[in-house]
Amino acid sequence: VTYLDRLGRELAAVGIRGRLRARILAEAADHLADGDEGAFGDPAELARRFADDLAADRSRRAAFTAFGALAAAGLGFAAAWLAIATAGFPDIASGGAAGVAGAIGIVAFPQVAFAAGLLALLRARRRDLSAAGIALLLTRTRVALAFGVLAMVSLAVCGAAFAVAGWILPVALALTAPLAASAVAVRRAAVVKSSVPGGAGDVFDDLPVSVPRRPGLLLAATTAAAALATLVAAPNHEGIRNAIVEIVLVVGSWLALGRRLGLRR
Amino acid sequence: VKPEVLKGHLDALVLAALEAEPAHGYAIIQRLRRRSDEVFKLPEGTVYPALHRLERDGLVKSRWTVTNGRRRRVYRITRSGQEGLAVRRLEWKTFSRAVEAVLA
Repeated sequence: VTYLDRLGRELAAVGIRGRLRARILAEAADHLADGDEGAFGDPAELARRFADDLAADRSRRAAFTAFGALAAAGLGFAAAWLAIATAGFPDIASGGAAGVAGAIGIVAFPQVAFAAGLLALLRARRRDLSAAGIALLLTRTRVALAFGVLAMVSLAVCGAAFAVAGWILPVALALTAPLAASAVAVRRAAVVKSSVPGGAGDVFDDLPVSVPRRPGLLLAATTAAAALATLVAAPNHEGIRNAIVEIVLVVGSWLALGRRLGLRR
Repeated sequence: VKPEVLKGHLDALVLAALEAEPAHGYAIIQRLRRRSDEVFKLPEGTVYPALHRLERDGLVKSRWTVTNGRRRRVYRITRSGQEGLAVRRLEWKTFSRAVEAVLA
């Protein structure tokens, strides 16, 4: 078994395969034609160094790509919302069960997607990511993309069920394509195994400003802000109903996803 | 000098080694040794993760060349790399002056 065989195996073991692995091996072969194997370093250690860098880099890029795709989906979503609002919001019951499900989806899913995407973006700005930190970044990105797809599917369902604007259905479906492409980037990033030690941390480690590490306070502030925004948008009976829905949504999401997204430990 | 001491400075050292002219990995290692009077004796393979990282960050570019029938990956510093090197030089000067002042 040659040095290059061992290096190739170690690279594969940390998830570095394909063209990149071939390039590293070709560069090592060229180098070893002049130097000696002992001076080149331990293959496992070398593979680990490549993987540590690559895992962080791919995960960060995947998060940025995902956020870009979510932003594009958000623009399409906003345009559709505007079209629906201009035409006058239809009676939710007129769309049948699918319409009700779609309507709930277009209220709940985009908010979760945006929050998870923002959390991923906050973490992706950091350059000191441990293996656990990378895992958390990828989880946030996956959740953001999954809820982004659910939001666009809900929008498509609404477009079909309420027949407000013919373009909503195809646009909503088309905007799921960049989200799906981003999921491929996330999957590609997750293949490479980092070994950088350290904990995953939480949202308080990601914030650009130092705030007291009190998850309960963060939940209360977020819930209050969401409810207040809803009341400001519609300062009437409907606004109060919507604010209650927002409170249930924020608290429910926190309970269901808070630990997974690193909002609380 | 132990390799771990150099870890935080390897990127700057590699950029400095490429500043004058492009080079392949083996030549970069030789330049680092020569210019440090044999003080920097890294495991030679460690220069490659650094080169790949610098390339991903746009600080160096690389391409395959063929010399005497031999394929070699040659790296050259980019404009961003030169700017990054200037920043790192300034940081290092500030840091080393401070350390010297404390240790002296």
